[in-house]
Amino acid sequence: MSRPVVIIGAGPAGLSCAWELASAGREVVLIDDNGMAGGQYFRQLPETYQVSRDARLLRDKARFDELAKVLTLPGVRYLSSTVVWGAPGNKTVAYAGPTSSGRIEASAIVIATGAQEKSLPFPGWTLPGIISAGGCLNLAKAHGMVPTGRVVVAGNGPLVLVAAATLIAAGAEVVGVVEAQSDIRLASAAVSGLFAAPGVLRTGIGYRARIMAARAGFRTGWMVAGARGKDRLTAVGIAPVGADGRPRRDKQQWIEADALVVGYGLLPGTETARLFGCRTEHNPALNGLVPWRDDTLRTSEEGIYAIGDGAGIGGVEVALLEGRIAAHSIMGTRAPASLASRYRRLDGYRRKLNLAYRMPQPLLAATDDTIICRCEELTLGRLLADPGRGRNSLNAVKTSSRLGMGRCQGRNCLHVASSLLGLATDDLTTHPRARPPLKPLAVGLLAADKDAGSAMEPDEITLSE
Amino acid sequence: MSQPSVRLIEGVRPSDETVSFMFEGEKLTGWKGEAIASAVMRAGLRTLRRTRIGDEPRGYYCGMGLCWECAVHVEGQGVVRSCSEPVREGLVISFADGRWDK
Ligand code: FES
Repeated sequence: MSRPVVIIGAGPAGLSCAWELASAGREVVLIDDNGMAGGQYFRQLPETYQVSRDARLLRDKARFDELAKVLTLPGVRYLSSTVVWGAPGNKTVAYAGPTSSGRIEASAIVIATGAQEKSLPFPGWTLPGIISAGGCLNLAKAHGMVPTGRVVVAGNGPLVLVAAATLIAAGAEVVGVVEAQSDIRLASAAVSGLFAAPGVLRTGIGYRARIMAARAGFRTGWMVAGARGKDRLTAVGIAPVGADGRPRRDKQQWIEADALVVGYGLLPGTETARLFGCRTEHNPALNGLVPWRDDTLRTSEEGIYAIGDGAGIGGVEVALLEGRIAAHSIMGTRAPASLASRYRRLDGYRRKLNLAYRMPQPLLAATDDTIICRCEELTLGRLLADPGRGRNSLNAVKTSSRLGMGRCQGRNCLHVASSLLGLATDDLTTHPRARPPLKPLAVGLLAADKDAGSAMEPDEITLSE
Repeated sequence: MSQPSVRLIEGVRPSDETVSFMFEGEKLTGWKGEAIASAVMRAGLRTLRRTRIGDEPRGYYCGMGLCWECAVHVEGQGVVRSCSEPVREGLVISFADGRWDK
């Protein structure tokens, strides 16, 4: 039996890659840690819910239904709620899930694990009522809900407008929109085309025009500086962004609010690529640390490809195209010329967009008593005093303070810790490594591994080379 | 209990079937298929867990399974993310990290 192609992540990139491969008769195993396919962009309501045709819910359901048909094609094995937790070497994937746990030897591995949000710790940011922009979009798409009461949306990047427009369309009371970039001659139309469902697009433009007209509601060059409340959010502090990337607290204003939506940008999620030993590099046009790729979307490792937001932020359209291109690379076939030229255009566009939103200085709003690591409850002051900091190594700080060692495994804090602590961000050898298991797993699932054997840590792979 | 912190978007019709479950000693009702966090927030509760050290309230934050701020303990099942775990009849749910001071 020939080895299948293993695709990790069933979002737009993974699904589209699976389509191209499966329709050419290739065997595919699609592994996703969510209970439902579609990734973040194509999140759907529970199957037990119904939606009337005039619902004020913006989602791209028709396109998803079409794309999701791939899951029923012969030759496609789809493992949902399943975590890829280890890379035991030689293009092998270790996985664990409710229906089976084991190892798969692949002919090629496609990493399509998507983006994560950038955190901006500020005083009070852990209060209930403060949710991330992605969390807000999922509240609408996956739960059919919007926050009640007065809502403020603050952040930096396309998701700010998308979240605001989605909330407005769904009938929420948005009382303020705060974008950190002051110089946004942003082509809203194209922005929404890359990141939002059709419909958000028009709403986005209309809404922006409306808040521009109202003046008070829409600020650019401002950022969130703090939040007040006891057991829940009651007010949001905003201030102009200073030249040092910090809020000018002398000009701080308070807005009464019941909910605050924060979206300070998207980062490629690279843990899986790093676990598989793929070389990474910093690329501001792709929004941060990304796996190195050649024109075929192959990583530094033979037979391992990286596509979609996890390989560079670009939104749904870029992800769909990259899925198809990687499939052609794997099969050794030529992608249709129209596909290649459309990709070149969108790839160029998303790079410009990412750079346009980029702040000259990283935004910093934490004070000494602001929690940085939510899981281990570590404040900035505590981390600044940590002995590990003297070694100019984030890994040393992690080891001595437990920074990033809680349930989220550092996904909320490690990417902002370097700039908050004034540590070198470029030297990746001082950063914590991606280690198996990649996500918290029930021991029972691991124990069910029918092909159990050792799973090397990434540094062991290097040592044995 | 205070006002619900979330409400249904017009035109969205949840399942007619409801289930009841316990959350931190309170009896709550959810729709079939609804996520635990959604049902709890609709009931006017915003705090999904309290932290181990500072006993601080935390709620729904990332909504995509990444932050674990919504972690709750389900009896017989262990700690789950309430933003994605559906409610089921008879679940007994409590804060994920318990209360160390009690
Ligand atoms: S809200 Fe972040 S994991 Fe549930």
